[in-house]
Amino acid sequence: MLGFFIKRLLYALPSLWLIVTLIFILSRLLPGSFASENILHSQSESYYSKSDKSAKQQAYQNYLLRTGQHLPLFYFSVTANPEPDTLYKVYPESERLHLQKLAWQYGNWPLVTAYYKNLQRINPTSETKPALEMLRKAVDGKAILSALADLKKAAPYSSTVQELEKSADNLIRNGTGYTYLLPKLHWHGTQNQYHTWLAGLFTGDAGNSFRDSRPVQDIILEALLNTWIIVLISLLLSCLLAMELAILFLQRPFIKLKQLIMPVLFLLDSVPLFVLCLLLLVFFANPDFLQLFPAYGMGFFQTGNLSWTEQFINRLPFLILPILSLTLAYLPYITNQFYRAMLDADTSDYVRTARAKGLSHKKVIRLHIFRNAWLPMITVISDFIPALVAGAVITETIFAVPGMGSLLVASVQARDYPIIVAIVFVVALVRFVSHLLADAAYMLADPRIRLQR
Amino acid sequence: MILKMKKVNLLFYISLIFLSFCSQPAREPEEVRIRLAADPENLNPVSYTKADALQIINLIFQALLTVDLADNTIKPALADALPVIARHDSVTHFTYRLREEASWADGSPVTAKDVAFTLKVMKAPLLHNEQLKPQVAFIQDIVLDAADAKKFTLVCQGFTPEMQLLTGDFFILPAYLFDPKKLLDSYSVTDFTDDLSRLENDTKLKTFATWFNSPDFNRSAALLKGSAGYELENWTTAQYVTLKRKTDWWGNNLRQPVSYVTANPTRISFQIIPDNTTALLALKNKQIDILDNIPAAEFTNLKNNKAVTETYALYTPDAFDLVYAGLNTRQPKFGDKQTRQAIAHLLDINSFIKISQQSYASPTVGPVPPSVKTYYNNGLTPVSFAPAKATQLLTSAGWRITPEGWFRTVNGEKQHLTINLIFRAGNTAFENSALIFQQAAAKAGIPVNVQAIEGSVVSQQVQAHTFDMFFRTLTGNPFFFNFKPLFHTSYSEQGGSNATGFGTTESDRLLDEFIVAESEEKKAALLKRLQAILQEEAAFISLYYQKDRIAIRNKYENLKISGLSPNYDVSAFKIKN
Repeated sequence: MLGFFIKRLLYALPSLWLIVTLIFILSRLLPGSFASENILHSQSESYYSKSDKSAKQQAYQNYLLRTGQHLPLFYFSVTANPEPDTLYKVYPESERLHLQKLAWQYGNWPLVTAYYKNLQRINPTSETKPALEMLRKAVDGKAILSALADLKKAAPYSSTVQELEKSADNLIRNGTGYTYLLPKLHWHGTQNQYHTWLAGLFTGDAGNSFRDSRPVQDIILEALLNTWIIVLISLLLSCLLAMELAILFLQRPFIKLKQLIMPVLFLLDSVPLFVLCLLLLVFFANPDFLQLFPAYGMGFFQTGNLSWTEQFINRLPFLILPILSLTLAYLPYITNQFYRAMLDADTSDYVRTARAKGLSHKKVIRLHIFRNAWLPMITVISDFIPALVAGAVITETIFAVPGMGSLLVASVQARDYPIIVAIVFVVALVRFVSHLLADAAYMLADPRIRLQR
Repeated sequence: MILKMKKVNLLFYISLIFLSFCSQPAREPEEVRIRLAADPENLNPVSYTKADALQIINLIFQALLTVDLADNTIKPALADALPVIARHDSVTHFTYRLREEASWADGSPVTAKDVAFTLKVMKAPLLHNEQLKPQVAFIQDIVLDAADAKKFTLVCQGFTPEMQLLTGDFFILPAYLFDPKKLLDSYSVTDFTDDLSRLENDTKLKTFATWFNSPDFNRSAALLKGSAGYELENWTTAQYVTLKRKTDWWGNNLRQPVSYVTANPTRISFQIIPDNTTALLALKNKQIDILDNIPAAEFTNLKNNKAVTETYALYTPDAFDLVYAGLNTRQPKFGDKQTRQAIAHLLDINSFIKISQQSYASPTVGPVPPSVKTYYNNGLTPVSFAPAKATQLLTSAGWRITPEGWFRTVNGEKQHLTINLIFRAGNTAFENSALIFQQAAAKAGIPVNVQAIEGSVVSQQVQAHTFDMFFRTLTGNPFFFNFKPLFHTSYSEQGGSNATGFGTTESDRLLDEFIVAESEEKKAALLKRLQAILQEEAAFISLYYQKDRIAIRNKYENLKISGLSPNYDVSAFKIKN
């Protein structure tokens, strides 16, 4: 059995690696980044500017340099043939994009840089400004020439304009179009963001959060504990309740109860979780109706040293509504699955034999049906395990529980890449482990299962 | 067995009912509770990023100047008076003196050396200071007074009116606590003003950077100790941040007490509640004392809820947040002002205010808030909703209506009048307004494509000038009106702050003159004329100024309700007798 698990582990590693690598790269493709939002665009919509553009640009570049985000993303990159591999170093981004377009259009990097350098040398005055702005966007030969004509009108005797005209002419004449169709591979070596991150991961360092610079592990652990309290308890509760309900439904005397509860469960299943949470709040944490529980949080700050049990008792009233909402959300599906599984077992031959032996109904259920219904139940439970680390976004947000779900949402909103990648990694890992556990549980539940070697 | 399980269930329900009796945990006495929508994340006075964090840091650290929310004016906080300004050719000197009594948590006085240290921390390379660094880039040097340890002069490059505030708008850091090994002592502020690349391998600086960039500096109660009246007591991530009043704070022993340097409540607790509905319930439950940013519809409900109005006072101060529409004048179809004026006449501002703000907003003629009476141009009226006028303006701009819409031919190019309206997704006020505008424009024959997109994508499109029209919010203040970065043509290049491309020779001149204008009359005249031009040009179309919506427990007094963030001064709160 151990050999089997090791083999499974080895199989899982490549897919884990692939998931995390893809998320690492994809997350960086989100528009905007933490730094650009906070340094470049901060206070951009205010009456007076607190700082000028170049100072912000400089600070932004310093930040990238300090945090290693100036490096290329991966070991290699594939670009269009005319693009140089150092294009990513050009700031601001609008200039970089313009240069890239020029490179694609004319396919000749030295000519593009010559033209671009001349363009930058021109002094913007109130006369030349409109034409310059056109030139900074123009890519097509026609557009460049017409903007150049405007520029010449604005500054007819300027030598820099004449040089620009020469280089533009050279570019348009000697440019080779369509070379961008050819791909070019750039090798960046180990000096890249992915390598730095992966190397850190192997030494147990998953990086630091962009938002508060704390180690990613600490932040995730903190959120994980909060998630566990509510998700684990509600998962256990709903499994226990579902099991009891399924057993009740199987018994003839309770057929009326089943007819009563089943539609309620279906109804409950069709209520969206956020509506359920808000209903619970409005009914049970509202002075207009019943004010039984606090509306939010996981306890208040209290001075003085409280023992562990006192702390827990203080916390309990806060936990009841979130746990209740999740239990009610999980319950219909789990109950239904458990009941179906038991019903299948109920109609089998061995149950009939057991009954014929004269066993009591209760004994038949506990000893024969229950044991055999375990397999589908294990599948259902193992499907819920990843929720233990993925958290429950809606419940967490509404009840202000700082768990994994709300952490993930906040990290995505703030472009806190290290946290995003780490959460995906943990969830993928737990999903894999839950499958392994399910396999182990299958074997324990049913010794007939022989594992494939 | 089933019976046993039933017992367990029964027990569970009994305990549930039992627990419900002890559901409202006792609160700490004399604690003011404020709702925050998100965790402050970082309370370092140099590297914080969120507005919520700023509100908390303001209670722990002090800047040289502060805004007195009682009358929305700038007053000296750590400084004993407003700076003495001396303008020279290319530099301006701001001379400050720190308050005699001002001291740190350990009792040592706040001196000019601390100010110098702060500037070094904000300007040095390798440190986590990139957010604020650009703000002090104009401060070139600090000159300490040889005779007076509390006096110093800041040497600044050039002059703009807002410099007065900016020279006093950063938190002063305790050098004894932040740099116990005196690592930054050997550097001067000018060392960090010029080229920094030579310092990047400096060992002393690297040691300081490792120490200062550590997460402890963002959240440790032992390190985050400033000169203000509160200190961090507890911060449980994403749950609450609690501040405790200092026992013997210098601000309470001032020879001449200052009404805006206060620390009254013994404890202030910030409760983090992300969801609005939950926050409202917490308010009704009396779990929180202050709730701001209440959604307009909910605010009206609260007003009509007797149980709420008995416990809470509701306020709607005039905020300084302007909602405006921007048209891209660089687009040939919006190149002439008549077309832009026609679009402005299709914006039904009164409906926007009624529907999206539940009337908690005031229409405005321009970017100057109507509450700033000296500068607001009363001679103008807000642009009216007039579809007939819009049609007339379009026709005189050369557009001709066809069954497919409005068309015109300029320089042989056929133009079709369509509008792609972008705004930040998730902002329901923008969404509603956009739909109202879309309907009005459709009636006038202009197809409007409404696009709610991610905030950062809006910024990108606006900065790259690839938009037609947008809705955005502008945060203002009542003291400085240097609109140059917003409206001067020198800021209209890609990535510049003049996104609409507005600007005439006259407006440029007005903006330049405003910076150097000395008298209030002159400034008012210039700004009033600017508002008229802005309305005439209709590139930057001011829609309305919002009102904030706040609920505060009515047992408190001395609130200093203001339109400026955070809308009240919690440090001044007193319990009514």
